[in-house]
Amino acid sequence: MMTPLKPWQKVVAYSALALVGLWTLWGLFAIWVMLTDPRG
Amino acid sequence: MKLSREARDVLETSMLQNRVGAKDRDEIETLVAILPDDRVLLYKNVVSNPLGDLYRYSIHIRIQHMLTFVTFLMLAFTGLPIHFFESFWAEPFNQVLGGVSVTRIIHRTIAVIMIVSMIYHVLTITLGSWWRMRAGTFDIRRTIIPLWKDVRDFREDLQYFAGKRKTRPEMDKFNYKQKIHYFAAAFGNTVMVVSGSSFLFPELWAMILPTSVASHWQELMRLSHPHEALLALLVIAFWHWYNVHLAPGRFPMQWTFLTGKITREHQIEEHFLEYLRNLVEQPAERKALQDMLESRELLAETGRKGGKS
Amino acid sequence: MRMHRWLIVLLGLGLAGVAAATPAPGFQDTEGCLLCHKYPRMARITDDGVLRSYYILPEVFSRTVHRNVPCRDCHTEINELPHKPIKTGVTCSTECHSVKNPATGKPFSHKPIVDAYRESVHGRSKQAIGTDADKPYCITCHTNPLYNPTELAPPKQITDRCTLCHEDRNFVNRWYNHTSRRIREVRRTPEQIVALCSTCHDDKRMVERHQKKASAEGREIGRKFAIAVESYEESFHGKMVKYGFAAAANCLDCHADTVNYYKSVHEIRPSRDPASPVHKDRRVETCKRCHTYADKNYAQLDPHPTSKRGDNPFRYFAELIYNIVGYVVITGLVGLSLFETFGRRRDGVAWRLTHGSSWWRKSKRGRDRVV
Repeated sequence: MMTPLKPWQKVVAYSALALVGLWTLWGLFAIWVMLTDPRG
Repeated sequence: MKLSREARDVLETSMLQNRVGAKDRDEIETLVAILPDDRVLLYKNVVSNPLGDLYRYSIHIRIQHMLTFVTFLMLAFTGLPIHFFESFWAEPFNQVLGGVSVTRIIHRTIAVIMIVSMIYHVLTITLGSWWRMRAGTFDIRRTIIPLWKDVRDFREDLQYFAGKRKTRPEMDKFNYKQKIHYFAAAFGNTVMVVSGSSFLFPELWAMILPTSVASHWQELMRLSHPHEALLALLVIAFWHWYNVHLAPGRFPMQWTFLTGKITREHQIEEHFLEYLRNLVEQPAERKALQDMLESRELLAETGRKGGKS
Repeated sequence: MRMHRWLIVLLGLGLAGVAAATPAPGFQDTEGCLLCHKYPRMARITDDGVLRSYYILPEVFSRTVHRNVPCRDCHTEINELPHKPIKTGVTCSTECHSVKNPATGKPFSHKPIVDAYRESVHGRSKQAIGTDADKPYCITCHTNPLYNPTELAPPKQITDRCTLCHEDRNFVNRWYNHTSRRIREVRRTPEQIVALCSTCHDDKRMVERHQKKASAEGREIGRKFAIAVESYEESFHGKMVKYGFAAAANCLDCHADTVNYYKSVHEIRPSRDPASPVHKDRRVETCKRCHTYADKNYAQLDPHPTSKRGDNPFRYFAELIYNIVGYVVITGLVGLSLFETFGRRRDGVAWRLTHGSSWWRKSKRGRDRVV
């Protein structure tokens, strides 16, 4: 059983997660770039 | 719990290496004996602090992770608009940094920091292992070096995920996924450094290599740099993130990279062999575990098998 | 390119407006050509169906580099007025009898450079037919743009001094422009050079014509001839030039000699010619122009790389393998993650936004958390 996160821990964890989300968008973007790269 | 032969061997080695006295040995053996036979019950019921309970990574490893992490993100962020310079979207990226000529300089500068972090890391693990060998506490199973056991663990883990096996395999401090990831990163970094250096110093590489491969080498490096970069970017974006942030049990974030500690439930689920060593090395952990098991009436001795009994 | 020329003409017309306001220097019509050529409708449609205008605007012509050359110095075929239809047209190797070369005292001529150019792979005569007509003639590159903002008003603080003795400001201005243009860097930028060479070398139909002709004649043609531009753009040099990095090699930096740049660019030869700086025996020397530490291995590096199977099978297969490995790895890892989630969820793990994720759910395997 995991003890619940304290408020400051939530701030850290979820803002890190938001950054991760951005990076994942960047990854999706990279896939798009690769698939549309005219050089093949 | 009756330990498997493998787990027993790890426990014995650990007690030997830690020069455990008779009293402690007795305490450990008693605790192991009263653990519930079903490890699943154990990791489902222990209390864990999300920030981590058990020591795992030294401050050096955490700094190296931070350095690699920051430089990698920035390298990928600057590298993509350099490689795809002509694309319409690359221009604003380059403009933000001051034009592509500036992006290129930033890219190389950060690359140097990444190389420093790589050297720092190699030093850490070499000296650390050397130290342990001298102290007689080195155990190859506790390192990142891939062993045949990892292949077996991988197969058994897949069986568990498919529902064909009751428990996950008893894995060591670094499980098969981490070993794959580590060596992929180590290999990838090396490829990036070598290929990057062959862009910066093409004359040097031409001098070193035999005539017949000099041209092929340069061509291969020009392919490798962007391919390896994109692969790493995607592996990080879709796999590493999953393993440390999104996977159930790790969500929303695994704190190990900051605190250097792993949660108890995670250690028992995915690194049971390392948990046995924790029991040997940390008397306080034995006490904490015993209290938890007693309060939940999960002790094997009580005759109750726990769960839905 | 044609568009470009029309723009120049338009700009010229605009300038003519400016010129009309201030009396234009130079160009005295001593031969009486403007008797007819002053008429805007002086034009005809050639046998090829091209409309050609023979209209001369003295205000524009008086701003060209040839303003001091009488018409018939170049249009030598014309001996009478009105003249017969012209057959051969103007060539740049004609001697100008009215302009003396101040250094030698002989009639001025571009003949030396035209002769050198004729020896090059690009060399052609003015009246070329067939594939030779694809080759550039002088005016393909020497567009002599009329509009040059820096030459409209030469700096007074410099020319004021000249006018003290040379008296005529128009003379001083022309002389200043003539000299300063040669002092100032008037070469094309690397990007412009690549663009200029690309106008022909990136023209697939033209390249094909030349390949066909060469194979029909059993003539050797460069391995990179058909892909010269695209492969250059893929190269490091090409990329750097696109970045605006002027120090990276453009076409002429390797394909022209360095003895006298202005002459060498007219003497480009195919790489199989031992005189070419990219001939295999001269490559090290050519690389060394920029890459001080280049050796024979370095000269092996392909400055025109491609991933085409015919051109470079090694790269082709390497790229193929890389792509396959990349997609397999990503698919595999994402697949593994999904499989893992699926398997562990069956055992009761779950996400809880506010409480973090843990073993909240009921396990399908029948071993639940003791709550």
